[in-house]
This record gives sequence, structure tokens and C-alpha cells, in this order.
Amino acid sequence: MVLSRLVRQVLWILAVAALVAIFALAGRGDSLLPTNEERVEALAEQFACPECSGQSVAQSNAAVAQNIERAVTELVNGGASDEQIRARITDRFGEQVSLVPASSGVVGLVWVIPVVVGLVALAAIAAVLLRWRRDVGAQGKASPADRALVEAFLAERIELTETDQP
Amino acid sequence: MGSARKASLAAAVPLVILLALLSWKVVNRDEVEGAFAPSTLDGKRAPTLEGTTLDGAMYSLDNDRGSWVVVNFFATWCPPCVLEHPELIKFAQRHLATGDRRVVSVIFGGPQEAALARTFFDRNGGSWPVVIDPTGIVAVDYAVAKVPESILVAPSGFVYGKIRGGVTADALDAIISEAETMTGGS
Repeated sequence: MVLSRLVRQVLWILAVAALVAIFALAGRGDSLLPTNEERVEALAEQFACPECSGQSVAQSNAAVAQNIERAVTELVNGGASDEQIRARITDRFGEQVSLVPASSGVVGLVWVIPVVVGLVALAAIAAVLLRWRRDVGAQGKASPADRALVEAFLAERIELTETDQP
Repeated sequence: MGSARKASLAAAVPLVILLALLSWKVVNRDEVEGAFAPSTLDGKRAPTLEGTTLDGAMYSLDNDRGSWVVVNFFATWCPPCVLEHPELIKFAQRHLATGDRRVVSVIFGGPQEAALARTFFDRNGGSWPVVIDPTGIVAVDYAVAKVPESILVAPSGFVYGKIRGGVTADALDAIISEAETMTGGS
């Protein structure tokens, strides 16, 4: 009974979240997919300028950075995917030019670890809540010993009452 | 004690000056002379290099197969590029008759850069092809991080190495001759 109430609450929360997401996406209209310009901007933010220190291609005014942005624009307009462009540039300039950690290999752990930690934390919270609920439930129920005590007390009280009556 | 301290100071001053000079030399090495440095292209087939030259002709690196090719990325606004230009002329003229070692330059940018390069060559000389890379893709494929950079393409069409910074004719010949000795001319 308690569990089904919990499930109903979770379902309501999910339904509200889904509605919010639908309205948010609908509000974007036709721009669900990024335009070529947006893709170029996003990609230019993902590469470090090879000539400068600490600046992305998008931030730098260096000729080489501007050239990379021009090449990215050309590749995007030519139909290349983001992954293909990333691969082409990191293949040439080396992985160190990428400002986004790789999704595979040891570096890919930076994506996996937060998810794993989050899941473990959620599982721990769920376990604690269930245990707490069980304990509270157990405290609310009388044991046979308790019942026996109460019965004995009541019986004694009835006897006393009957004796006191004139 | 005082004299020992003076002696230490006297020894330290030239040492500091020497270190400062060495540091300056290291920092400005690319400005003075190119550094033969490893690159991600080493040992790989040279990326496609095709395009229109400043003269309006079509150039393809494949047509130079069988010769060593110095693929030189430059810009007219870059001082080391201007400095190395006479050396490239010397290198090109040295091998003009045999054709065994050639130069091709690449500029990246639009029509404005092309016009500036045309004026630059008219003024300073140089008769090798200058390919215009309007999209920047050639420079990306050759991993050009800073101009000038020169990529040495072997007669086999594979990249032998990259020189970051300005080149000299003698240095180019020395590197290529050494490569020929090591690889048997291919």
C-alpha cells in the first residue's frame, strides 16, 4: 500500500517532468537541430589554438586559429559530422588540441565516474530510506509480548474495578 | 669573507648573462632558424595538396612524385617567412636544373591574402608554384600550427619531417641528403 503510493508519486513527478520537457522543446520550434553556424561555433570551442596558450580556436585571433575555424566551416558545410571533424583535427594536431575529453580509453573515465558515483549515491539513499521506512513500520507494530503485557494490565484493571464496586 | 663574496658575485654575473642568452636563443629559435621537429604526419602519405596557384594554374603534389618537395606554408605578414624567402630562392635555384628537389608554397586565406602574396613574389622573386588554400583544409591536413612551416615530402610521396620556423637552403639540403643516405634515396 505504502509502496504503491510511492510509485504513484514517482509517476506523477515523471509525468510533470515530461510535460516540462515537451513544452521546452516545443518552444524551440524549428531549431531542434543546430544550424551549421551553431555547429561551427560549438566545434571551435572544443579545440585549443595550437599557436596560443589557453585559448580555444573560437577565442583566438591568431591566423592559425582562424584558419582552423575556416576549415571547420568548410567541413561542416561539406556534410562532415562533428565526430569526423574532431577525428580529422585531433589526428593532425594530436589529442592535446582537444578541449573535450575523449569518450573512450582512460580519459573516457571522466564521463563514466560521475555517472557511477551518482548511481551509487542514489542506491545508497534508496537503501537508507527503505531501511528507515522498515524501522518506522516495525516500531509502529506491537509484538506478542507487548500484547500480552497490555492484556495482563487490562485484566488487572478490570479486576480492580470490579473489586472496588460496592 | 668579503673577497670570497665578491668572487662569487663575479662568477655569478657572467653565468646569469649566459643563461639569459641561452634562454633567449631557445625562445626565439623559431625566429632565427627552423627546428626539425617530429609531427603527426611523419612516415605517412602526404595529405592531398591540389589547388590553384597564384598564376591561375592547377597544381597537384602527385605530379611532383619522384622529387623531394618542400611544402612551405607562409604568410606575407610573418617576419620569419620574409627572412627565409631568399633561402628558398637559393634552394630552388640550386636544384632548378635537376628538378630533384622542389619547392611549393601554400598560403591560406582569401583573395586579399592571394593578392598580397602575388605582390610579395613579384617584388622578392621566386618562381615555384604558390598554391592558394582558401578553405584552410590543406593547412589543417598538414597540421600547420604556426607559419612558417615546411613539410618535407620524399620522392615516394610520404612525409619525411617538418621544419617549424624559417629554413635555410643549406639546412634543407643537409636534412634531405641525410634522409637519402638513411633511406637509400627514396
